[in-house]
Amino acid sequence: MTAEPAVMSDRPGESSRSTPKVRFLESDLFRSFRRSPAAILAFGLAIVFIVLALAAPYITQQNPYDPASYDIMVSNLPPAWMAGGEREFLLGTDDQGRSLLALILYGLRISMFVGVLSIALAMSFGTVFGLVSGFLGGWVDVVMMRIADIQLSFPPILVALLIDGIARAALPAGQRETLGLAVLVFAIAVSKWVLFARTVRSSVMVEKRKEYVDAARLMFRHPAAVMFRHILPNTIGPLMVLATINFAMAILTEATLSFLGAGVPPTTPSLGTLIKIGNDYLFSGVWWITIFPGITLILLVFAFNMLGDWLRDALNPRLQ
Amino acid sequence: MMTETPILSVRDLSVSFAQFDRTISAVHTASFDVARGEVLGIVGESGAGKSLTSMAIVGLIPPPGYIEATSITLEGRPIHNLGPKEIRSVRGRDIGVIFQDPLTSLDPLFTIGDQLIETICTHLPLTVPEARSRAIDLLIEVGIPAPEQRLQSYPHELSGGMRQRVVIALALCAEPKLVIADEPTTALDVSIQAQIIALLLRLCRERGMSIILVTHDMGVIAEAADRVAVMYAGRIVEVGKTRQVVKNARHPYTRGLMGAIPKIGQPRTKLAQISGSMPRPGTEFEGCAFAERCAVAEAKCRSLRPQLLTVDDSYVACHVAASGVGA
Amino acid sequence: MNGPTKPLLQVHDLYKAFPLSSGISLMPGRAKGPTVKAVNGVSFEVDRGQALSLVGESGCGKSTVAKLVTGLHRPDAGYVSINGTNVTELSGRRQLRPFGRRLQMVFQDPFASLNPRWRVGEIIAEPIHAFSLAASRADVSRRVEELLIQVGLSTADAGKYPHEFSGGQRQRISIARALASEPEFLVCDEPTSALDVSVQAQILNLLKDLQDRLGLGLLFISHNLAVVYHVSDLIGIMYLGRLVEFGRADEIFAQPQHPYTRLLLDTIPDLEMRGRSRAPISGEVPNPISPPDGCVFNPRCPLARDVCRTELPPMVTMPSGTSTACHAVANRWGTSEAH
Repeated sequence: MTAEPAVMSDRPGESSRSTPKVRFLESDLFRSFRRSPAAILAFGLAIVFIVLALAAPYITQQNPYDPASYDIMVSNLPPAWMAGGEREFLLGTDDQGRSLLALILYGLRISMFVGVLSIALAMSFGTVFGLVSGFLGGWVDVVMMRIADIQLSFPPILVALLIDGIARAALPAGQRETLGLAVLVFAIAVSKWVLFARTVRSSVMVEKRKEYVDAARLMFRHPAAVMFRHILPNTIGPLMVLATINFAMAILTEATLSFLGAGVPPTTPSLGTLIKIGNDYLFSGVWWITIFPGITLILLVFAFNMLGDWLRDALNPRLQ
Repeated sequence: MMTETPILSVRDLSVSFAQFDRTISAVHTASFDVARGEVLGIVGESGAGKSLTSMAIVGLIPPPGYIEATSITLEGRPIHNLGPKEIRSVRGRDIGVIFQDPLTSLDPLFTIGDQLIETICTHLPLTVPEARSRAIDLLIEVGIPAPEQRLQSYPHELSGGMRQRVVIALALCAEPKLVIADEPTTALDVSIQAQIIALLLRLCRERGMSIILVTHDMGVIAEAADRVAVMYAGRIVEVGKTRQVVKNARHPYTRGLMGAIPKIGQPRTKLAQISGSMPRPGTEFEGCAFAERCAVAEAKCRSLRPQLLTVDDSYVACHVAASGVGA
Repeated sequence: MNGPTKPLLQVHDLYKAFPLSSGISLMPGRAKGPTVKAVNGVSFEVDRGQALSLVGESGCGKSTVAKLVTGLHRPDAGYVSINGTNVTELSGRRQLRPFGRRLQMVFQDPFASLNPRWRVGEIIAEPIHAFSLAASRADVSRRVEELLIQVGLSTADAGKYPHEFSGGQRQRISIARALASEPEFLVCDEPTSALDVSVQAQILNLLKDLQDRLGLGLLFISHNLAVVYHVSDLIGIMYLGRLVEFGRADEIFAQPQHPYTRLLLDTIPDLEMRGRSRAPISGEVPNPISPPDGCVFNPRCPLARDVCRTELPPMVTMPSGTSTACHAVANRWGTSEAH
């Protein structure tokens, strides 16, 4: 009676989970999300901002890019609930008579657009760089990581200012306006890719020693297949965390550059430009031009930082 | 059970973990005694709850987990309801603890000597020079050559076997009456394992100390334990004299486990095997947790939970063994 | 193929050393730092349907031998040949691929050996794709189902992810993947050391069963002689990078010659409880960076004499067919004929 001979199965009747949707709803990630009020709040805020940015033209009739749609006669109006405020301009107007609400919504668009694009650029380049460096190892790795180190020793704002400066000097005056955004995206991406490269590299160094990579090598798979199909999917977790937190950082960098006058031109105002414009009027009592975009920026950055922090904890197996 | 008062007596010890939306109970109502000078083995597969049972005694259950017990008494003194500070002084002074991985018990930044002397001074009213000479005595006792020089060594400078000896010395600092050794040999090579077991047994004999030896390895139990408690899915399913359990187990799981161990000298045919694997902690059962894999399970095994009952000189939680059919 | 006389796997005088500093020296080609000689002149042959087990303590080089045989490491000297073809001389994926198909591996860690982001079906199908062994998608999924059933899993498991399985089940998946390319030879590196005893028996039985049924050659790596007792035809005992004893399993279990083999047998706990007294051998495995002179086992050996501390004992084959590298044993048999 010691055993049932030759019974090969070692499965107690396991429930079969099927659809990906059910799998997500049952996943630890979703459970931990449901249990974290901070994560829900941050996620809600982020969704609100994304919707506001996407739906800006439908929320406000005024288009701040179109001089015909605003009137300098109503400049520097206070918010609607204050004396002298008008109902049409809920958050007041700026020095040119543009509705601050419209400005913020469109500014949100620019800020998030720059954030998404620059992080996407930094992530794609950094990921491939880190993947190759970590996977090939040896001298390739040494050289590639020294390049990254050199890049990292420049402060990000300085790098962005430098690129912006070079672009301004190199481009003819007419194209500065049109290429302003592209330069900004590129500048931020350049200052951020090393973070992605390093994170991916360190994950790759861990993953490539695992036995599933040995198994793939025993099948004589092409190194690129091992890199992209086996190793890359296992570095996604830390990458997502980094992307979320750095999205917030990228928006801040954009605001800083715009505030310093190196970013987007004042005709296409981002949150940073608005804060800068408002800054000139702050001491004349017109506080709303700076304060409302400022609050928006803080909430936006806060939401994505919180989201990133939660994601990092939720994906960290040691904290579970 | 025992005629004299046991050194440690555990009644209805349960360990549970609060999860997001439910409570996973990892150890259910474990009860056992450890007699003076006795080596009690707790054996089970990974996830059986053997380590949690032993760690619960000294209050080493990490936060989402909590302990419930009718009583845990150390020489008649209840210790299950002590605060964190008091249990910490029990641990170390009255009960020594040895972990699987010596590196978790040793601080890599301090020398062996620093750690031994500090532990001795914490628990005993000795001056540093006295503690130092005591540390040297302890190192000699656990078989470390050139103990004076070793005091200056850092943990990473020692081999795995030597480190485990140092951990044992640390556990002995305050002359505990009971040592809990959680898989003390698992991280070591086979030839070193035998040395460490021999050392533990010698210390037990010479100092009249009791040991709770937690392991997954029936071989270690057969070598070292006087009595053994077999755990399965969070419950003690069999307790008895080691010889009895190893040679003539009553519980079908214990029998299967013994049969599944490769032994040299058997006919070299197929190994006996238990089908399936142990249910994960948190799986709820109406009846016996082993019924799913059990070759002799009956209808009532699936509906009624078996209690730990006396069968001959052992305690067995099995309907079939209790009714004498499985024997 | 090269006719039936060539052994399926031949390993000839393999050497492998690893540099101690894992970092990169700033001066390429400069004096190499100290090395660990992981494998020091190991030779053996395994034929179709035979199972060889290499046994030794951690650091004896047994896993390195496994990786040299599979080609995951390149030997510093010596060669590995499959069916008489020296595969160590080959290079490039195109040349090596046909041999890769015939020699696959089951790994030690059931958690690290399966890509957690891949479904089980994709994992098992990978060798089929990699070696172009199926004509259509339907063929692939039929073969995957066949393999799942062969290792005792169900066809529905193909759609699940590795984390949904227990350690024993994962090891079955790993075995199914290794079998997918229809290999003739399977290297198993401690396939049960991460498993519980009751599950270990299932995996050992499965491997033995598959070996019999498919006529596989098997190289089995383990630290425990009892574990390999049921699966081996041949046994090699390794110590500090060298084979110290090699021979038929029944001979070695019946009459172990080398003192180290006896030590290993002695460390297996006595579950019969005959009250056999075990004299635990003193000492530990020496640092492989600076192994002792002479016989590497001499510091721990109860039979060590002067010659053992100066001269490396050669492999000597005894009348029973067992080869042993030990001065004391060679003396007893009054022979010094080299292997």
